[in-house]
Amino acid sequence: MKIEKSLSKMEIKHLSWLAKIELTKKEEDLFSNQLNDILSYFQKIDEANVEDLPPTYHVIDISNVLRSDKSRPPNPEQALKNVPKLKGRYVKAPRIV
Amino acid sequence: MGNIKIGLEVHSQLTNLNSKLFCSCPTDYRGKEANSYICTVCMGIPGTLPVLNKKAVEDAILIALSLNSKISDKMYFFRKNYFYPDMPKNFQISQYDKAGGITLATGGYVSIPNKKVRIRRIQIEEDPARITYEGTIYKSKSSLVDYNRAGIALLEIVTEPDMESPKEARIFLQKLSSILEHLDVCHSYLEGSMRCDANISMEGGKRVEIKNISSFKEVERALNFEMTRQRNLLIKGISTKMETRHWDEIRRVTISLRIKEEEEEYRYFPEPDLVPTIITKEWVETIKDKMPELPDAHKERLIKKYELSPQNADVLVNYKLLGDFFEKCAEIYYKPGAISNWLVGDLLGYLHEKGIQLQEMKISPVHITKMLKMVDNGIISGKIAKTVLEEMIISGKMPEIIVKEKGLIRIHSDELIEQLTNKVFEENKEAVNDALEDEKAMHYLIGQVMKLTKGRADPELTNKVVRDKLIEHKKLLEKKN
Ligand SMILES: [Zn+2]
Repeated sequence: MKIEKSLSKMEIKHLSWLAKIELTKKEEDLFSNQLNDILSYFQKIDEANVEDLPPTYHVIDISNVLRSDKSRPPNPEQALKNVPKLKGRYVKAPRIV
Repeated sequence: MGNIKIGLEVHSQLTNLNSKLFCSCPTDYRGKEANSYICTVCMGIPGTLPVLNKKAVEDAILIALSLNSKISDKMYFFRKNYFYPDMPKNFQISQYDKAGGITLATGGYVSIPNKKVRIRRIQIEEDPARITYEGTIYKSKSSLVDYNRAGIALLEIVTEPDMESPKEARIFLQKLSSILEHLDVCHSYLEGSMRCDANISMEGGKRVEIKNISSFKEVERALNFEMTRQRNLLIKGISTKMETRHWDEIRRVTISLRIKEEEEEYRYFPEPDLVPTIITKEWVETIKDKMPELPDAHKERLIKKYELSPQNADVLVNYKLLGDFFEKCAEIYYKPGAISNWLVGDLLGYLHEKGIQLQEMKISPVHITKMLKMVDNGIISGKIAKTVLEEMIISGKMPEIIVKEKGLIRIHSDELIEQLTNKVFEENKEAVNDALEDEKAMHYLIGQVMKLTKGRADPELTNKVVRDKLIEHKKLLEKKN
């Protein structure tokens, strides 16, 4: 895949919608520049000829790391440590529909 | 009526596993306190690593084999990125059939009457959390999340749009759920264990996807609603737009609820925390060896071995638990025809009426066979047996105890029946005169005697006593004249 054109303002706005992050005008400019820098850097990778190479899906050449189906007592206290808001036992989150 | 095409995306939990798909949290979360079955892995705390449950892969392969699908020789997991509180990691570990991704299996079919519904692909993924709202979904400002379900092994089975009516979709789902039940990998009676998205398109309109269908019963309803809605639009010359709608189970309507992310916006990419899984032929063979009897073979066997009607056999296969129950009964008391009629008719009917699940009923095969023996030995009538059956289902008491407690034993005493017949004749003089000529009036008299005994009188005996009494009455009349 060759990335010819840079990210437009519209695309930045769309990305922020997908990520559910509100951006100020200033931030839009800032991230637009930063992301375009990253993209142009990646264009260097596009120059490599990979025609006959199989795709790599994992950097480590191992497969079938599996565990047996044994359950262990859960650890809710530790798992809930970083939750910002609880209501009773429920995690309270903004409504997103 | 234009052509309708329906495709389904079935999500089925692998309910027979002990632990979640990528962590060791237990799976029997139903009815447990919210957020008590979670750990740092299924909550996506940075630094933790998922490890794939071997049995989940094997169960999934077993299902794929039973659906005649082609098992991939290797598979990858992908991250499906989206921001929604039902996934604490902000992505779901799933599989993907594009961008070089390979899902567990492709192709296959499920046979339903007159057709094969083709399977497009089968993939393994993790179940998201359960979200509830304070108040209603429309007005609530916040969502309450219970992550107990997050990370439960889920199989996604996607069909081709081969179904042509909502009813056909239901029949397909019934067959699929029966197959999974026979495999003993997904018990659809567990709340929320099988869910479904449906897409429906009508000639002249675009494809509409319906989400949030929480049970199979609702699928037919949701599709019927959507079919009518689309048809009404088409009649008015408005073409349906491609959209995702939400099934509101309470109001029984579909609603256009949110702008759906396009597929590429899920930004799928290979899950770097999980390595590829290679599925060798040998592995598949050892799983294939464990393949149990499937619905079609099961039905055929029931018909051949027990000489059941195809209708009864169908029901016993659809409700596999009842099918197993039936065979245990037949082992104890070999009256398969009568047993199957009782189970398929009165028992199932009563359970449906009362909203009782099969696995909740308190009776064992011995209850049924004892009850049947009592009918066959003339201790209770068939009609009384029905009352006994209902009482057994609710209380779990043995039939002989119920019969004793409620005084339901059949009355064989000539003397008592004659006494009651005399009483009925006294009180229904007109009917007695009519009965000399009219069969109906005679049956009315018999009915009155039965009523006095609350159905316990032996019908044959009562019949005989009433007839004899009528003859006597006739003779008396003739003498008078
Ligand atoms: Zn966990």
